[in-house]
Amino acid sequence: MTIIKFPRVLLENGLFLLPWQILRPTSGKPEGGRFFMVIGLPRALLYHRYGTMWRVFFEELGCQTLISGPTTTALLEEGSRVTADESCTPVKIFMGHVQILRGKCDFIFVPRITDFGYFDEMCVRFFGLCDMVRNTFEDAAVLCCNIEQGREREGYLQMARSLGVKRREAQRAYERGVEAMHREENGRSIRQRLIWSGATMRILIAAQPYVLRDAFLGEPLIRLVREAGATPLFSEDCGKKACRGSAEEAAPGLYWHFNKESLGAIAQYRSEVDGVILVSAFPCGTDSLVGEMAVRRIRDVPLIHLLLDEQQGEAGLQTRIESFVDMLRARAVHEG
Amino acid sequence: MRDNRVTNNGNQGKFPNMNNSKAPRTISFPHMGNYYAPIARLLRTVFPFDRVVPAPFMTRETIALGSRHSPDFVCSPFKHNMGCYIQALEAGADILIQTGLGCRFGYFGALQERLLRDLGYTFEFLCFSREKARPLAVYRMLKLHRSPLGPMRLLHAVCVAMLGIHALDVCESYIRQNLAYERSKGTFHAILSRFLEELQEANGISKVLLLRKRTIRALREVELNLPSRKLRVGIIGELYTAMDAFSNHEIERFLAGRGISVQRDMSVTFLIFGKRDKRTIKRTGGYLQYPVGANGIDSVAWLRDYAQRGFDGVIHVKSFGCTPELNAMPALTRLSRDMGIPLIHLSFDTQTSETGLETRLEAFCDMLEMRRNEEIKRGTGSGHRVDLNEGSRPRRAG
Repeated sequence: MTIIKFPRVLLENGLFLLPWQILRPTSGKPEGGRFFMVIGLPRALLYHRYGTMWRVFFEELGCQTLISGPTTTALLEEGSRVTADESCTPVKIFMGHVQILRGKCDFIFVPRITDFGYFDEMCVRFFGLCDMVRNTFEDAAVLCCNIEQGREREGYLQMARSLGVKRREAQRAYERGVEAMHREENGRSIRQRLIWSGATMRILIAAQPYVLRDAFLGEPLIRLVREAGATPLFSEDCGKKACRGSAEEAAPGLYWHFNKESLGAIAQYRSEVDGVILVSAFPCGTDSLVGEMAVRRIRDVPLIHLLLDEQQGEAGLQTRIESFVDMLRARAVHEG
Repeated sequence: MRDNRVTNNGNQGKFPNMNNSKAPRTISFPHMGNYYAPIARLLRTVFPFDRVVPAPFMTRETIALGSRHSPDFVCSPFKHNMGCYIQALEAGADILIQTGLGCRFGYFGALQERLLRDLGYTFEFLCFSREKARPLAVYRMLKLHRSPLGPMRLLHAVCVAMLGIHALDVCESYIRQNLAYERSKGTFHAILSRFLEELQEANGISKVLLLRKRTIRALREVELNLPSRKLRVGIIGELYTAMDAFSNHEIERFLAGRGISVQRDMSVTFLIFGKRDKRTIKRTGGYLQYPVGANGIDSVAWLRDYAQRGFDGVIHVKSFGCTPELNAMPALTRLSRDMGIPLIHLSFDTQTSETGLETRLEAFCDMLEMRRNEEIKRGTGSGHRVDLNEGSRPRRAG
């Protein structure tokens, strides 16, 4: 008897799934009901990059996944209460999501990804995320997956072994997860390319994935760009490997994975877009340096650097975006 | 004063002395604590035909300059470095030196060079950061900038520098522990100043070792008024803010003024020789499972170490936004609570007000004194805390 498993989404605030959450039944076998445990996935930070992969991975292993709902102001406030004031907003949002998931699942999944190679590191906050959650929420059971130097497969297999899963099963689950993630990414790239070809006023929004896709940080901005009459294109959907390759021309010596993607996307597509919006969450550690470098090095395309923080004052953001789009229109008229 | 700002330069101002390679260049580097002495000595040996002038000592002017020309929310070591560089360039520097480690520090050099060139200065920038800090890359860069030394002499110079740094750390450590109790104020300061001057002249291994022996003997001979039960406070945290007195608003001197013996294990000797993450993870007692970046695990390990040794309190210093220390903070808070050792978090940026800081430190020191008096009254003798209750360890999966 096949059991159709689906992710149970927490509908705490009456919000529903975002468009790229594809609901489909997986074909995992329950193995005699051995692994009926619930794994909580906080919808923050790396979820916006690897979420599909994790969901499919755990479901293939026979676990049920519980994903927290999209970020709200209340969630951010909860997170701010338990984190140091100086933490960047995405980390506060993450802690808010973890707080929501506490007590509702057997394990909360917090991965630790350090780097993908010597010149390809993640922000240092990811090194300590797992320990931060453990020490902040002492009663929470944290499931951690340690990925160093890009050895993803080993990391996930080791974690599965600690759960008591057989190696072959874990490998199959990992491969299915990666396949699902690639499928989703390709879908997004294709969709973006279609939108690209039909768009008049193209604005590239370059940001970390967890800033861009977050319901509190990135979505209002994307909505405002659309309302101003421009078409937003995302650095995340621009072919990540190629972007990382072209990051060297935009900022030589840069060694952060996500920053290389955003800057690489700007470097690659700067002749094809009308304007670029570089978005950072305050006080992002890596963006404090990279944002400044980008503003100084990229001179041939109009570029603005927007800072998002916890105080969600849309008026200010709206003014800046509208004036930027107006300026781009005037520039297009003047040149064309 | 030389005007270093050249607006239109054919070779982008990168090699100002290409025409006259015999003219002495001025080499400069930013400050971190008292390490300017061994570094200046090293650079003078490596570049014997050039002038080595450390940046001017940091003042409010430096930090104001630095913050004005730095991104807004970058951590304060960047701003201190920028201030030093700008002042050094104004004073006529041709070559600037920078290093780089983990966290954001590895990218400082790239952005600092860009900012300074955009300001219009002309200079060469030697950035020994990440892959350029490897021995072969360092050697190549030094040769490129016309250092006349061969590999053996360079190795010797580096050994002398390491011994000098170690001697400096040993002397400063002793001073830090006993500064509060010197009978005649200013003795330690005088000995240290003399040591720093002589260290800049010591260009051989035996000279450095003799200097160190002399200085330690002089330090040991200083008369102290040791109390029966002295207050011991440890300092942990981010490396630049912990090691640079200007950055942390001379917190060690303040504590000495309150009669507190300070211990700080963070030093350049530790960073070069003592930092071993795999060993340190075990010393955190399960509060951290993985390295959290830069010196995060070291902070946690030292806190636990100080708590086990019965220290009265620990001060955690960092600059605003320091990511590895923010990672370690939940572990530090929990450890301090479980082991019952007072811990105060101080976060420094360029806007830190002296008054606010002093108030917090005064309150902290008052609290420590009250606790000590309580312990003496209760008759727990030396008042040294035993590691009775380490608290629950973080739970693992599986």
